Amino acid sequence: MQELAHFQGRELRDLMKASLDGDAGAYRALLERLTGHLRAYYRRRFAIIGHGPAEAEDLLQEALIAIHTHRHTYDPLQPFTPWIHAIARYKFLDYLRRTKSSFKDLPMESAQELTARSDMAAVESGLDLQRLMSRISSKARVAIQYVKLEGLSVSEAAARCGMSESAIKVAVHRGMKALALRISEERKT
Amino acid sequence: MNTDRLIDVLSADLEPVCHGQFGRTLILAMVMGGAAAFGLMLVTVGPRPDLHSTTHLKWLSMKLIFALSVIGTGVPLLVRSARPGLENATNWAQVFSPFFAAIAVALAMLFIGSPQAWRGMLFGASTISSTRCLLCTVFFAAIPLAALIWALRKGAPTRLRLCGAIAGIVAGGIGAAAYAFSCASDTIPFIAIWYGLAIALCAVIGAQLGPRFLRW
Repeated sequence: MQELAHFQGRELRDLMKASLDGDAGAYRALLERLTGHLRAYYRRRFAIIGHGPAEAEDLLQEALIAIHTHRHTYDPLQPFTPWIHAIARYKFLDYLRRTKSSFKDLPMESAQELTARSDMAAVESGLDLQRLMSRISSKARVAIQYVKLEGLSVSEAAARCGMSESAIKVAVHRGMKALALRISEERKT
Repeated sequence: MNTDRLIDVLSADLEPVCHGQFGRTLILAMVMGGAAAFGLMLVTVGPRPDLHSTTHLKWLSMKLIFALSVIGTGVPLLVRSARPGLENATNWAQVFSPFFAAIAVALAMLFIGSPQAWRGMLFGASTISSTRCLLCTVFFAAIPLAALIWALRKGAPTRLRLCGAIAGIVAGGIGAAAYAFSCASDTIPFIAIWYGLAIALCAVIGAQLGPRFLRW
């Protein structure tokens, strides 16, 4: 059990290192595996406080966005499992704080616990991407639509918008930050 | 929204991460905060007039050594507090070591000195010295604290109160370094007590601000 957790931690860490260098395939694989672990983690915790799987899915998505926007805080020299566990746990405690849920009855946990289980059964979350997109600047919206949702390359998107490639990159980057902000605002209310 | 869709969105067009960005932001915040604190000292209370004499330069350097050692022990902890996963692998109590060292030296000085001299050693050059030290240090630390909080928002602190408190200590150290140029009380017990208290006050303020401004 301990060895398996250790092995998994090493694998995830290698994926994370490649992701930080810009390897989108490794990043995708990492996020998919983390999704399974985070879903199992949040469902178990939400069952304890009497909340359902849809709320767990909401928080899972928020955690994924937090991981994305804070991926620069991972130090490749440090083990990966404690990093991801600290973020997962922080997001859970933050959820309890803002929904004024009770902290008592929560079990003690270790960082390995996060990667010990995985759950691939997704449910739809309440997050409405199109509606959130309508609340960011039009330039960023168009850039994200082309690059992130329709899968065009940066140069294709640049040609279509009549903007330079670096302008597209900046618009996508700013748009993703704005989107992450809108999502966390949405959750706080 | 479907979680798979979210993963598509996040992993498309992935930008490589620029290492060391957070460290540079933190250094920028400290330099800007330090410059602001020093400038504020110059335009408000001003440096003490007899600063150029050798004895006063010696005392200025004593005060600066204390303030800089507070900053020096605080900054590595501040960096760690903004990176998730290091919470249990960090000895947070290290941050107190410059204070303990100053108190130990202060006690030794009091022990060596005669009891008649204690009053001057503890309360400084004049009756308002201690109040002036507290108020000025906290006042000079305000901009550095704001700058540090701005920088820390680019990290991912998971213990907001702790992170805010350490930011307060570092900002307090910067405020104390600025005030050292104006302070006319030249005794170690004065530095240990009043500089220490002023920085502790900054830590309390930082701990209050942390949960409010460092959420992400």
